[in-house]
Amino acid sequence: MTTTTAPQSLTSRLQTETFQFDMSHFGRLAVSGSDAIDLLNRLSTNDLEQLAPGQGMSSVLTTNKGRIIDLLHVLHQAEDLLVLTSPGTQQKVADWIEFYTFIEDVSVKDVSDDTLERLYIGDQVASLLTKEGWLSGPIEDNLGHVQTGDGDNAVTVARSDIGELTAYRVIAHSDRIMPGSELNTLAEEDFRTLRIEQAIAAYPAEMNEDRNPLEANLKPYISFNKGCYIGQEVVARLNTYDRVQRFMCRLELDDGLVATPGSPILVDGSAAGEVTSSVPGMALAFLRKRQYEDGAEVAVESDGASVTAVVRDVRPPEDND
Amino acid sequence: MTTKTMPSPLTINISEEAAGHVRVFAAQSGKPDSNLRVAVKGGGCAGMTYVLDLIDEPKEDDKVIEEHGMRLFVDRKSYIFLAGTVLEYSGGLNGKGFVFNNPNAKTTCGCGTSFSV
Repeated sequence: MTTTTAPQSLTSRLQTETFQFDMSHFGRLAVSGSDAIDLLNRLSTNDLEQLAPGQGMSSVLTTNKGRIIDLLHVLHQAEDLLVLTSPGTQQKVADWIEFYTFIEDVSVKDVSDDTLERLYIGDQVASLLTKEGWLSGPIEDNLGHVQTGDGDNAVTVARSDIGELTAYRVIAHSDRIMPGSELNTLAEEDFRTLRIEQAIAAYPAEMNEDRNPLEANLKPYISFNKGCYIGQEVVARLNTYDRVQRFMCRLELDDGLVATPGSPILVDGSAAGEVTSSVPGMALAFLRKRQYEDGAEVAVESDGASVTAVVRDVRPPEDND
Repeated sequence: MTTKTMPSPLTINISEEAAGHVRVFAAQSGKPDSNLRVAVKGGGCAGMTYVLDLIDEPKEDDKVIEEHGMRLFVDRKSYIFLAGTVLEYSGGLNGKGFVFNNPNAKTTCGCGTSFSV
């Protein structure tokens, strides 16, 4: 168990300050063709058929066993779909889409290296982007977006809240100078802290082919009445018969303690889960349903030591029964 | 009496009963001279779903198979996942309609309309 300085609550700081985070290492795919929405709808969990131009939706790409390939954020632009992936998964996602393209009019182009992506977090972001000419006003719906220019001048600005925090993503050609150069910048470690505070699953720590979307708290991105998609039968059965065995939780540790990812969680001496992501004082973990209780104390075995952690229930509201 | 169609690993076969039902559906659709096109598309619970369509002429690169007096068009890219398949028809009150007996399918979903290889 390593001891370092405890982090400040980034969530509370970001309610009064504006920060930016460089997301250019995340993946971006331009998916075009008259069957693009139809195909992605058949490959992922959410009801993408409902999307109109200017709207966006998150949807989980799943295997035929209902396991997670990646969480996609799909923006319905005028000419194509801009699909935002996790860092480094764009090739895997593109290959998956192309494998399942048979008779459809669909093409996939990886634009990750040609574009920059910046996340701006804070209540004042819309005002800032409007003042600098990147927006004409606030966007109300999450993943709602506006697209201006074309070719190398194309810019997409999308609302992309981080949990309870207001945030926008700006995606532009790699030659563009991005807005907000005077803003404070979140480092990768800060972003991980924010992600854990807001209990957001990430690839590959919490989202991978060993996990299903329900246990990774991705239920808000699943439509249970849209019809078939790859993995639908498994996901529907897990939900209908309450067969999910574990859920993602947040662990709070004493000041400064770090639980290394992979550390086992014990309850009454028996294995009950595993840590998946951590920063000093906090972690995300998967915990068995039987032991999943807000405020419960569990033991984390990390680096040869055992410490007590407090479980925080971070499941979507409809699962808190 | 219907003739039992034996599968061949290198082609796609349609049973006499299934061919008869294709003709019935074609007539009911007002396209009595159309032919059956078979393809696969991504999706369905298990990964791939069968697609049947009535069309007049094959699309570019379609494989054309003639059997029981009808022409069967097979999408070229889908063919690798369909080779050896026998398309049959399950009628009656509890019948499933057209049934793909596909030797490439490792798993099928509960309703039988999608498969994985």
